[in-house]
Amino acid sequence: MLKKIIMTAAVCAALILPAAAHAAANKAGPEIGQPAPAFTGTDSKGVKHDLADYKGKIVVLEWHNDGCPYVKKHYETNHMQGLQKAAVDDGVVWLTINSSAEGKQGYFDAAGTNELMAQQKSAETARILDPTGEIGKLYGAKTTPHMFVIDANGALAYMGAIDDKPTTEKSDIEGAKNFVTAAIEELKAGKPVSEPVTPPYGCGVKYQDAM
Amino acid sequence: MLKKIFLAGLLALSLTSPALAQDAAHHVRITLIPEKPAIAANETVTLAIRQELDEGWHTYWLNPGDSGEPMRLHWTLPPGFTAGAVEWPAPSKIVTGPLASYGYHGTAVMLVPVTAPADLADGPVTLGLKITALVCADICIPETSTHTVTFNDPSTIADPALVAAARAAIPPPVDGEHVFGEKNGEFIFKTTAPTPDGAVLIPYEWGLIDNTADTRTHTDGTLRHKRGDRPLRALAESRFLLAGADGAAAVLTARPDPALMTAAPVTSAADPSANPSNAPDISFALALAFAFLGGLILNLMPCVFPVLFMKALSLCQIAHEKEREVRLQALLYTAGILASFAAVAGVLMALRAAGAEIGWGFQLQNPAVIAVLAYLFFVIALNLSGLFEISGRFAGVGQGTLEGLLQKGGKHGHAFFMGVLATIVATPCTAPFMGVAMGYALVQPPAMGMMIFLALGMGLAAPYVALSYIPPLRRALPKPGAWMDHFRRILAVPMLLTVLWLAWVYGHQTGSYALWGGLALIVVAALLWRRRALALVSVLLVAAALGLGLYGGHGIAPVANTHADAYSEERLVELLAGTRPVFVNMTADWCITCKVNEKAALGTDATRKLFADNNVAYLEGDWTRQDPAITKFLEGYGRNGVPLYVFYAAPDAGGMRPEPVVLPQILTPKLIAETIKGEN
Repeated sequence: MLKKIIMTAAVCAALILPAAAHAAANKAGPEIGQPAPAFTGTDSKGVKHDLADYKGKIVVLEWHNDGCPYVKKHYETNHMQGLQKAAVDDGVVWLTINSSAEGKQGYFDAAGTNELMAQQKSAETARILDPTGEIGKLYGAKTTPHMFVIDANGALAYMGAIDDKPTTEKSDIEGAKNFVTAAIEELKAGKPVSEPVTPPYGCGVKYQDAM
Repeated sequence: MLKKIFLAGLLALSLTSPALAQDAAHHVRITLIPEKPAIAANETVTLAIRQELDEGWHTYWLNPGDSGEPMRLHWTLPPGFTAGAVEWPAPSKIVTGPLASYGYHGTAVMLVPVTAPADLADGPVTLGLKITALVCADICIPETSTHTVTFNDPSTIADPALVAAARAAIPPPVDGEHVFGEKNGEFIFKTTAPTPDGAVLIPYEWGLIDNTADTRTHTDGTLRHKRGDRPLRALAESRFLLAGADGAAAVLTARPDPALMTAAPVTSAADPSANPSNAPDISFALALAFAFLGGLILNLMPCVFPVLFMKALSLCQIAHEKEREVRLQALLYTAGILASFAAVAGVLMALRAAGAEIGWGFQLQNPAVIAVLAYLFFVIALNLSGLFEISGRFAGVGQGTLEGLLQKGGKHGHAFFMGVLATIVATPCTAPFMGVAMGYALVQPPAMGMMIFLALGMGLAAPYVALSYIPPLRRALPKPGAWMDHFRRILAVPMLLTVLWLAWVYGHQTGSYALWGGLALIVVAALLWRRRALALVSVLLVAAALGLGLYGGHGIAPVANTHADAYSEERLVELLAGTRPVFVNMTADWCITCKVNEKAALGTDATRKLFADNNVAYLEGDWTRQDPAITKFLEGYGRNGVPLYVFYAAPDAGGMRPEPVVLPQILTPKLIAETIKGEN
């Protein structure tokens, strides 16, 4: 009799526990140290990229809008392209994501994006088109450029600004501390990222109006 | 107000020389206007920076929110001049899709003070200022403008009215005690200053709140706002704008409150193996589920065992009764539990609303309640053991017993009473999941909080109800017989152990042995009860025992909690400032789960060695009696009862401590070891 009650309780507990634990962990927004939100995106060449495929590699996400003066600061000086090339050469996967909605600043279709990339001489692994803003909202991407670094285990290791000079002044690039480079270096050295969260700066991501 | 500024601005514009007006191609036209035309040595004069924006365009406040950048000033000052910080009027919240910023539309006037040196020479002196401002509509454009102000020159045009109006629009500082922290993914702001209706909280710093969410005023008077990305840990003092629905705003400088500072959603280092925070961030539905599950598990907790045994007995007795009767009794049993939970929760919530720093289990912080419970359990134990029967006139199994008497009063009353009893004995045990749900319940509006407590009661009642409503289960029960008499005697043992435990708790609470005397009186009373002529004496003895128990609870001062490991907020802050890992154990003598954990896991030689080997500092908070500091700590972790075990790992290389780990309410040595070694 007693045994039966215990058994019943145990069975109930076993059924309810995992579900409850899962629900409790299901918080809004990405968190440092937690698995980075999973996504699959299509790039300007029509290739699909599943974040899960890049387990074992460091992944950088860069939110992009070529019309934003903060983005221009880093592209017109070839600074961003240099970071992309150095990272990709170092085995890092660099995904540039464009969440500008159709009709908004920075929106390009696939062909337009390829043209823009050629013009920019950008060196990212791929440029992902996210006109619905799905990936952007998944990561809570607020600005261009908003940067995220995911470690080889798929956990979010950094989110925030590209550097510590939140301006549109090109002259501010030199002498700025680049948080993304620092995060990649620390992860490569097997160390925790010392500044995992910084304030993202830039223009607001030009999301779709109707939410 | 705004209109006034605008008018003053227009007036100023008409007075300003054309040279000061900005390029019309700009979306924001900025003018720099002094409060007065002259400046003397050592004098500070305020300058107005007036922004006039095209329709649909905005500039940003000091904290721009999700995107944007505040106006920046680049001075070219004559030797010895200094410029102070910009004072900003209260911004509007500007929502664009899923993002929210803080800034200005239309016309906004900022103020900035400049101070002349002591050795100021005679004659005109010119200050140069370059302003960069990001101005955005759908798109953003950085705009730069250059300005000059010449003091002590006949041509200088000042506008004291513009500056006065702008100053009136700058939110004033507010005195009082202001603190902030976070809980359950919410930013919490607590102030002694009055909070306006429809208060909106806007931090001067980035990342503290989710800018798109709304501030809500909690029933406890604190302001709550969904958390932002930034760890609060590194923050010192921070300024906040508190705006009312009427638009009036004030500035509050607040400090972090360590007691509120728990469960940051973001930890220092990106260590994927780091423990996720255990602090509850749960929905109402989930809290109900937790409460129900907690109630279910409560059936198995040590302090509920005796009642569970008695329930088992009564199940045997009703096993072969009519279906309708069985179900009715189950419902009454449930009603008894729910009524008791409602009563206890109601008292708890009323006391908390009145400002008492108490939590679940508060009943047991009162020695008088302990004394009464001890007597009750003792009477039940004596009855079960067969030492006395409440009425000698009835023969047969289950007739001269306590249950028998109650059944005489009605089977239905008996079922209800069993429910009440189950609740009473359940209170010392905070079952796993109950802690989370209770903590949640007590910060909800009363109706929702009450529903959570009732869900807990439903959980407690569930196994019995299930047996009553599923006849095949019931038919599997053994038939009543002589074996029940033997079984009853066995049941007296856990009851007596409970009495011993309560007496021990009472002794700790009061430092008095009065309860032992009371128990002795109860034994005599029970023996005399057999003789009907002496029944009155027996009743008097019970009354005397009660009097003794209550007296003992009042007369003697409680023993102070002074041992070296005793928890205090200061001690914890001090330890956390150091480099040792810290283990906090929040316990109470009346909490049997706590005592079991301490015996079986915390107090073992292996655990002691583990603590010593890892240089773990141990703090123990004793909640046996009321202690607001401990209640506060518990609340910081979303709890309202003990046990609570929190482990703060040593700081990493960067000097930051990882997220504190909240351990489950049932401890094992292995679990402690894994937590301390960071393997969990």
